Amino acid sequence: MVRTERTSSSENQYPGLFEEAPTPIIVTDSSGRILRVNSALEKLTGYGAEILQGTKPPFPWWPKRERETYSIAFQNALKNGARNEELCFLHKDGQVFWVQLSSARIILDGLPVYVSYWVDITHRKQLERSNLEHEQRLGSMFLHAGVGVTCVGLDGVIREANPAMARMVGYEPADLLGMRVADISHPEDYVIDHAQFEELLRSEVNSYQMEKRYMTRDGDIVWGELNVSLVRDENGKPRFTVGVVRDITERKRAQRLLVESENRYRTLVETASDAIFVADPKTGMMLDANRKAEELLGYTKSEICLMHQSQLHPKEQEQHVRSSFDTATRVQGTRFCDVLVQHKDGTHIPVEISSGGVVMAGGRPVHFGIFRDMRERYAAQEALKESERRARRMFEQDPIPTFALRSEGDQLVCRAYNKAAADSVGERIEKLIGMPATEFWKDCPDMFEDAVRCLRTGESVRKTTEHTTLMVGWRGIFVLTYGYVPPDTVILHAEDISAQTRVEAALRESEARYRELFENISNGVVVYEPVDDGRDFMIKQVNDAGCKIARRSRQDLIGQTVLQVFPGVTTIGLLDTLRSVYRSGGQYHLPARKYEDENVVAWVENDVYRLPSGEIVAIYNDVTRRIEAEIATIESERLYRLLFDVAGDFVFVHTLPSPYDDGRFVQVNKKTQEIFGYSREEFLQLSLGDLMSEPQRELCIRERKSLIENSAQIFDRELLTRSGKMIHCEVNARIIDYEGQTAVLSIARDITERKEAQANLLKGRRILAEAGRMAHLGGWDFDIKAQMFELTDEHCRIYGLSKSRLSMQELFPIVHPDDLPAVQAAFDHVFSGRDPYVLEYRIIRQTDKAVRHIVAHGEAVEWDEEDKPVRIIGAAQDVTERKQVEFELAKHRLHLEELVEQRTQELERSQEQLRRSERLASLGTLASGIAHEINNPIGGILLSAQMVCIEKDLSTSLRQTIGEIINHANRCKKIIQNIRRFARSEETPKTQGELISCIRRAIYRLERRAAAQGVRIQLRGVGRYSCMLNETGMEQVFFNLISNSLDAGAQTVTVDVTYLATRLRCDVLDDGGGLKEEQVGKLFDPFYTTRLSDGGMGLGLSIAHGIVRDHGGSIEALQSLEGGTVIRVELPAVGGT
Amino acid sequence: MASVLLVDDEESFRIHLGKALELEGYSVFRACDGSEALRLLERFVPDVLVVDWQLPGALTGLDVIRKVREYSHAVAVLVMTGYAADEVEAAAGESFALIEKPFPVEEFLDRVNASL
Repeated sequence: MVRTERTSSSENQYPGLFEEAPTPIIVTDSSGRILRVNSALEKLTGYGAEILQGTKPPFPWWPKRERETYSIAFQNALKNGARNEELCFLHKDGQVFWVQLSSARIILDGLPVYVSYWVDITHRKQLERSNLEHEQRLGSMFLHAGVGVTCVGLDGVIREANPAMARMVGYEPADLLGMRVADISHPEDYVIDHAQFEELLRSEVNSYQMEKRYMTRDGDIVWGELNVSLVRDENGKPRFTVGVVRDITERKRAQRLLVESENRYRTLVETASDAIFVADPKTGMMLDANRKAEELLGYTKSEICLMHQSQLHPKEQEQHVRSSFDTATRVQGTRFCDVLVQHKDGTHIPVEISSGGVVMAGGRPVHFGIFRDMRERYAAQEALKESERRARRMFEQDPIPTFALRSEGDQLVCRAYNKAAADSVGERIEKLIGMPATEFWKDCPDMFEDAVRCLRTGESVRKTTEHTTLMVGWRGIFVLTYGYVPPDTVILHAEDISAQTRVEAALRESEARYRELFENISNGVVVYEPVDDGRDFMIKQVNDAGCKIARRSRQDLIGQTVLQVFPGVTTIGLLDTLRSVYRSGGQYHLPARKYEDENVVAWVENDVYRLPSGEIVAIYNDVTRRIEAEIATIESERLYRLLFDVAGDFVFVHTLPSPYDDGRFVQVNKKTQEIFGYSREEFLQLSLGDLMSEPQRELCIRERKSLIENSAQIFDRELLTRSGKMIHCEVNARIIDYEGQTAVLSIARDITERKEAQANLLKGRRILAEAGRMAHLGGWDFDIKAQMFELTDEHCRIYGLSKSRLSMQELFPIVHPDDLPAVQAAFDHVFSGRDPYVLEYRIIRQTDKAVRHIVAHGEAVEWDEEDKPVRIIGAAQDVTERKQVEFELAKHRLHLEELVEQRTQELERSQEQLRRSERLASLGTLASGIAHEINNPIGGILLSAQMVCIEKDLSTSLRQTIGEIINHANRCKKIIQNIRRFARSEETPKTQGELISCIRRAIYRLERRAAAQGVRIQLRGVGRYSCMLNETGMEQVFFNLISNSLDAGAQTVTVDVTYLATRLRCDVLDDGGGLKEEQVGKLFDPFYTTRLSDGGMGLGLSIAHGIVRDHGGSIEALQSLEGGTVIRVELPAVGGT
Repeated sequence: MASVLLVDDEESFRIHLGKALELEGYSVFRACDGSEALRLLERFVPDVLVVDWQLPGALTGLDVIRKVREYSHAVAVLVMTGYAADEVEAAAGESFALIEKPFPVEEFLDRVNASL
């Protein structure tokens, strides 16, 4: 560098400055010749200015070996200037000194000169030199260090790396230079490293440590403990980092092994099937517990760690476990049985504890306990014991004789037997115990072999032997089962099946017999299995005869249901019978029915019963031929029977009466049965004598004689009916041969009437007398020959006589003297001829001497050969009262005219009634006919509806609907009953009721219809009046009346009820068309209707009329003032409120 | 198990009354007229005879009843009729249980049960 500084007369101005400057200065010319030096230079170099002035290079302070390089540098400095050149010079005395040289070109006195300034840096240089030595020592350390050292730039490039580092990562030291830290770092750790490094740059801290993995050249991993320091320059600016890396791979490996081992042990403890607890032996506090321990107690590990060891156990064991714990901490490897722990839920769990102590790293002793849950083992032990007990019990109670044989040496010895065995074998069995098998089985070595085989293989052996001697002479057929019981026992079951075998054989035989029977029986036999819950039946088995009758092959039948193959069973009732047998289990006989389907037409008879297995058996027989024959016989028999039965006489056959037998009946006809009141069966138990009274019986024997003699005879006989009535018979008896025996055919004619007629004659007299008494009519009988009167009692009473037989002389004085001649004349008259007489006369009654008026009749009734009367009878009547009445009557004759008038009116009214009644009677006949015709269909409706109701699965709405059908049918029934009663003018039963409720019900029934027509029905004058009512009938009346008004086109119908002291008046008013004059009379006629076109029956008002009349009321039609119609009903009232 | 001979020309009566009787536990035999009833009667005598008063054909209910009486007086007889009961009684001159058609099934069954 050339510096040209312009100074003016500097030397002159600052000679002192130059001379005294502490810095050595030298001024040269452009050739290098020294112009001036200052004293500082003289002092430093040791050469005086006088010597140096004018000196040219080489200068004396230049070391000889440096002269050439220095002169080149000097020439260079002259040309370009120099700055801070550090140079080594020699003092005059040979001492080395160092200067820092700067030079500049300046113009001095118009000439360019070169000034060089020296700074003595010798001291520094000496210092530097000692520094270098230190550095060399450091370098050696660096090179030979056992730890890896790296010097890394801020850009992450390795600047320096010592051999140890290089070794560690498998490179040559030179290779590492220029590589990046990332190249030798494990990528995961590098991230952390780099982050720490960044942090380092940002913060005040100058170092960090970490363990990181390095990647060797071969790709292996080495662990290093890295210590990084940041090196900053004097200004604190980061320059580079130094990292010291210690290879800790070995340590890491050991550590990993340790962790693994720890994990292993921890897992072992955690997954141990025993609960493990760790406790402080001094305090007894819990320190740790494994998972099983948590399960055992129900507490979590943290909860357990807060507990004292004694708290693991139930309170009552606390003392015990505390002392045990103390013992355990002193003695290594202690074991405790029968300890209980308490679960969180309070249950106690038996455990077995083995405990021990260990000393932890750090010298802390801990105590551990391994708790084994003994529940299962105890349970297992208990189960084992129980199963043993059970096996023992089973052995003991086994109903099959059982023996236990134990292997002892090369022998099998019987060691035990059960009760069944003892029972079967008897006393001899005691000998068995301890006896070797070869001895008691010497006859049957195969048994011994079987037992040994079982013992050897451990498998049970089962076989049936016949007639084997099983243990001490016990014979039979046995099923033998050998079972192995570890370790050395064989159990032998010996089931004696001798009896069973016999039974089985018998069963097989019997079964075969039945099978044969089943197949060969001429009846059809079908076994049905119920299907569809007994609604249908599947054919399971059928025999040959069954197939034949059904005219199907067995294949067609088996597996089919009865409905599929025999559709006709429903009609003949067999299906119903099957069902009912299935349900009830009873046995049914279904008499012969004609079965028809497309294959078969036959008469079949069925017997049905249920097997214990639930199958149904039907045994059936084709009885077509029999039935047809029977029908033929029946027809012909019927013909004769008809003849026999329709006979109007009693026809009966009885045996010939004998002393031992009054003639037993063997046949009687219908008439006889009817009249005598015995059924045929009863007659057959009777004999002729039974129909006779005791005295008559004797006649039988007499008749027998005459019958045998004459073979036919007519008797007159009195026979008794069941009810004791006597029937006189004229019996025409004849001996016949009846079914191989001699019998009597009797045709008896009832002559009771004839006999009765005779008897009645006698009775007639009695009756006459009685009648006479009642009519105050006395009778008399005059015997002309005897001249004696015979008087009836009544006659005596009328005349006031005490005796009934008297002469004419005794009688005549009683006659009123005034009338006596007339009486005598009358008698004379009757004596002379045949004419009767009638005479009125007076008498004086003998008892009270009262005058009585008598009317007497007399007539001859018997005559002698000369036609002269021999007997006269007559009657006499006391007419005194009548005479009086006649007198009274005459008095009233005057009123008669009036009476006739009144009666005529009454007659007219009653004739009107009569006319109406006749019409109603015609209705009655009709109604009665209709009623019967309609009753049947209504009955059908009612019945069908009710039977539908019996069905279980009926919806509620349907059930309601059917209920309505039933209600309506019942109403029809009532209406019909009413019509019928009405038609027969019969009184209906009545109860006291409220008329108003009948009207209300009628209105209610019509409301809907009225609403549909827009008609208003109103009820006025409502009161609770009682009447004697037939409520159904009365409801019908108002129903009919209101209904009529509705038909008449009314807009308003009013029912007006009024109470009129003794009657209730109900007016049904409407504003319809009103009535025409000619309608009024016919209104109540049956079938009179104005509504023929729309189906009116014309019965409504007639029925109403009939019902009202039946109630003792009246009904009439009136014109209302408003032009409508009023139907007025009046009923007798009982009372009202 | 009591047996019933049910004689009615109305099929619905035969079906429904028969069913009702069977449900009640009777074994029921049905006839649609007098002659069929008589044919059955020749083969067996029921415990109860239920017969409609008016039957089609030559034989009336009364004929059937008389036939039954011929066989046995022990047979209970229930007559069903669409006529009023007293008319029937008057016409029959015999006494037996009577039920007027229409009737509810329960009443019918009561009468049959009561007749035994």
